[in-house]
Amino acid sequence: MVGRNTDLHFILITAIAIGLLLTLTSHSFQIHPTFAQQLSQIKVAFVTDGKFSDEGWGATGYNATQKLKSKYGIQLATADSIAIPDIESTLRGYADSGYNLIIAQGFQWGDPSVKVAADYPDVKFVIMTGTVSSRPNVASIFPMQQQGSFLLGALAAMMSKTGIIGFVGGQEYPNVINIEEGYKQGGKYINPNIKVLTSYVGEWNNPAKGKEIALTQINSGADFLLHVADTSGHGVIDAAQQKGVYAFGAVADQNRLAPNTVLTSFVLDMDKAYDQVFKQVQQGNFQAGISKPGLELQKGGSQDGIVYLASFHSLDSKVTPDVKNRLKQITYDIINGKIRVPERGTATS
Amino acid sequence: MVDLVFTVSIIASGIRLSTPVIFAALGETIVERSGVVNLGIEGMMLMGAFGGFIGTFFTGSIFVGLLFAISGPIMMAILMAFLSVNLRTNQLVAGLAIWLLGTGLTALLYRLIFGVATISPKINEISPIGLPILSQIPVIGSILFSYDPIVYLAFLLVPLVHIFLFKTNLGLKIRTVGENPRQADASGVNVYRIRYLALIIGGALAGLGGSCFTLVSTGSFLENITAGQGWIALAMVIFGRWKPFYAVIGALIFGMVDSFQIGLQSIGTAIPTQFLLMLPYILPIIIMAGTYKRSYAPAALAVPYRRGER
Repeated sequence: MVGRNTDLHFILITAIAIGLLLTLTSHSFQIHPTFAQQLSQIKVAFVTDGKFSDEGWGATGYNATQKLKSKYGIQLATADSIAIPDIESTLRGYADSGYNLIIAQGFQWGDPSVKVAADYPDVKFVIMTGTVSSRPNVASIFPMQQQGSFLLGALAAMMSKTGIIGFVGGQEYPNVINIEEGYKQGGKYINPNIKVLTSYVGEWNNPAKGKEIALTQINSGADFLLHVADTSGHGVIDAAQQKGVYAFGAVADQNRLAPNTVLTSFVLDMDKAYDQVFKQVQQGNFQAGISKPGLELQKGGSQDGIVYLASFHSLDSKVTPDVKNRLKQITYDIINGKIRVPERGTATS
Repeated sequence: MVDLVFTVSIIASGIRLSTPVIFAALGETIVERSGVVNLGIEGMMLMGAFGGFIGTFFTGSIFVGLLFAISGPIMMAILMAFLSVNLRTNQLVAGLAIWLLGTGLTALLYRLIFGVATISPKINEISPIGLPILSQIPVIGSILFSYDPIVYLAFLLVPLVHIFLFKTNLGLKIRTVGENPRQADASGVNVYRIRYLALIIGGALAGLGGSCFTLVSTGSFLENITAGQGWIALAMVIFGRWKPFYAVIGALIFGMVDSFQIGLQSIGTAIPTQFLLMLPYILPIIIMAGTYKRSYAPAALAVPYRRGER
């Protein structure tokens, strides 16, 4: 009897441990590509770790590729919420089904893409925020998001009453570390004594925890919060709204999540980025390697960049003309190379 | 003064973070006291989170939301009871199936209802209510004594569950069924019915715990939003030696460690973030390993009962 009970406990504890581990890695939910449609020569697959419903990271990429579809009439397959263990099989699945341009959004897609790319030399792989480039059919876009977050840090420092601003990241990916660093430098550029609180949620899809982290930062005096945490970041915006401080959106213009709270957002112009990539493939001059686009003045701007700040929307009157002018000056200084925002998480391969 | 506010806000944050685990652990304590292990608790919490969201989204009423939040998990509990009590399947396997069912079903239903939308639908979450007098204390009062009503409900339930299990006739029946179902049967207790009841209560409490995520914290539903809290709750039941008060202490420790590491991160420390983020999860495993030797488990835990068999 004792033996049976011990066995039971062993099994029970093992089961709980496995359960904990499994839930720590998020689940995948894949939409399978539809076959046998020959609308165009180029078949595009768009895959990401994010969620299309996140109004940020995932949504921006989804919308950008949907625009490709309506503009060029291509065949498009999309899949979101892909967990790391499923990345390789997902890539192979699309390559096997005849997709010849695979746009993978997320740093973690880099290494598996390089591996898969070796077996499918005719398929082009593009990794947004990727850091890999070692094959002729792999390109990484590693936007200098630190330039965008530099602007946000500067803006926060100009407007902060407490001299304390906060940053909440999802996980310490190279591009996220860069955004954190740019934010800090931007703050220090305006106010050398500024205090920047930084925390990582450790998860991209845990808004409850994102909210608690944000509340802790706000209670420590932070009156501006930048999140780069996908859906965890929704909790950050929620907390800012609840406590009446400002938040910055990430990747997309997130003002509509909380119109009186989200002062502005740094936006990745994925429409532009993916359109460029598609045209390259269409014209047969695919550029392998790592590209590092920086700031542009506004969406679709003539500059090379794909990072810009969203408008202040209804909060426009809260930002004084002085602040706006200074921000504009800093933007030009960055684009012209007068201000350099070095990266901390580098793209090497 | 800032330090005091900081400390107090960490405590308050810990209490909020532990609330879902408290609900689920209380429910699971009752379930396991009746001799059933419900590993599906994580799935039930997800269903509760989903139900709470859907109910509130379509009716605009938090009350209907709460009703939905407990009804889904109750149905799953009945399924679990049918599998483990009537069919006498292995409870661990049945529980894992329930967990996967909850994970898959909530994701599927959410996509069926809302499609692949690039805007996530939102509801107005419950707003915090200050405790009378206490929340008037300057500086710390509004932080330490102001929570969402569902948090108060969790703490109110702790003594109630204790009284239910140890001071009522029904509680005695549940415990007897968990210790010695044959004896209970012989003295006229319907073992099946008691286990069904315990699972239904456990399911309802897991659902309430899950609803914290959608109704209180975020106002929106995401796949896998409960993020492993159900498993933490299971660990806390073992840590609590199948006693409600101890299980709640475990849940509070979990929440406090989590909020502590959040606080530590935000003030800046040399300890790597990854290590800090691991703390609240590694702790239950250490605690379980430490309390493993002297278990106080109900004797008939995870043993299917068959009437008239010797």
